[in-house]
Amino acid sequence: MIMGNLGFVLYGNLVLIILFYLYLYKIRKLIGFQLGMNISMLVGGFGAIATGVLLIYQFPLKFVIVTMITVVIGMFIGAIFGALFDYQTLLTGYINGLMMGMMAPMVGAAANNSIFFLVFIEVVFLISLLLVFLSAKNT
Amino acid sequence: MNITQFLIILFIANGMLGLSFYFVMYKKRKLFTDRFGMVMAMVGSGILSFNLAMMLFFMFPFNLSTLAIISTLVGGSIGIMYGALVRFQSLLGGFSQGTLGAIMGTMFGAVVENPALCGLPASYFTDVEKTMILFSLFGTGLVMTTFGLLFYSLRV
Repeated sequence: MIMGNLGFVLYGNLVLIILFYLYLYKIRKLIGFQLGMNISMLVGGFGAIATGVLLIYQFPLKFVIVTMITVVIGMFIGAIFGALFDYQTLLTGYINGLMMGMMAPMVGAAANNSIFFLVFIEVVFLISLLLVFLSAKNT
Repeated sequence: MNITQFLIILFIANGMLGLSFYFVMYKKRKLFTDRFGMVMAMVGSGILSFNLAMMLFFMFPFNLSTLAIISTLVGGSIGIMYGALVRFQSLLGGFSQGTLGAIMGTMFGAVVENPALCGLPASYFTDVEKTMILFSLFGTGLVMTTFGLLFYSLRV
């Protein structure tokens, strides 16, 4: 069932990230740069991994263009979350999103379309967002 | 122009870019704080060693372990060079990101050159050379973007 609706899962991930960005935008004055650096690394990296695995499952014949799109999306997510705080957190989130985005389509292609792996990646992504939410709330 | 000459020219261009970045940062090194030095060493050495390791894998026909050792040495020395500008804390950050980027670049080059490693379909074997040229150009673009962001950060 989940293999037919990969686009909706990707859309859901993007909506979650945007809602989370709006929440962090309201409380960005309360967060120091140390936590900001960790937030941008975590959200950029796992957002890039989830996007890359979903895209390579959907288009298994287009490895090159999927890798490029995933790198750009990872860079962008890391950079906008880092830009909430400081210029140096922007650089940290940018490089981490880039590295994770390079790796993600390879992992997805090596997993041979197994559904279990996709569910595992989604659960890790949701848990990381939950952890970031808790740590930003209790700061 | 065949593919080896193209890759060698691009490799030399990347090396010159890294060296000029090092000299500009060497002139401005009195301005850095500790934290900016660490972030600069991590970002610059990570992306530069990734691209250099990927191109080394495309250029030479040795086996994987020899190339991994060579490119890890190159990446580690790039990280130490950028990190030694400021303080020893930034040296550790630069060294870790440099070796990590070199190992990942070797893995990425192996997958692009032999797509059966990751179980990609057989249609990739027909245009491996086009894929190699495309990825080396893309990596050079990423290196230029990153160095542009780092130069811009001297002004902010």
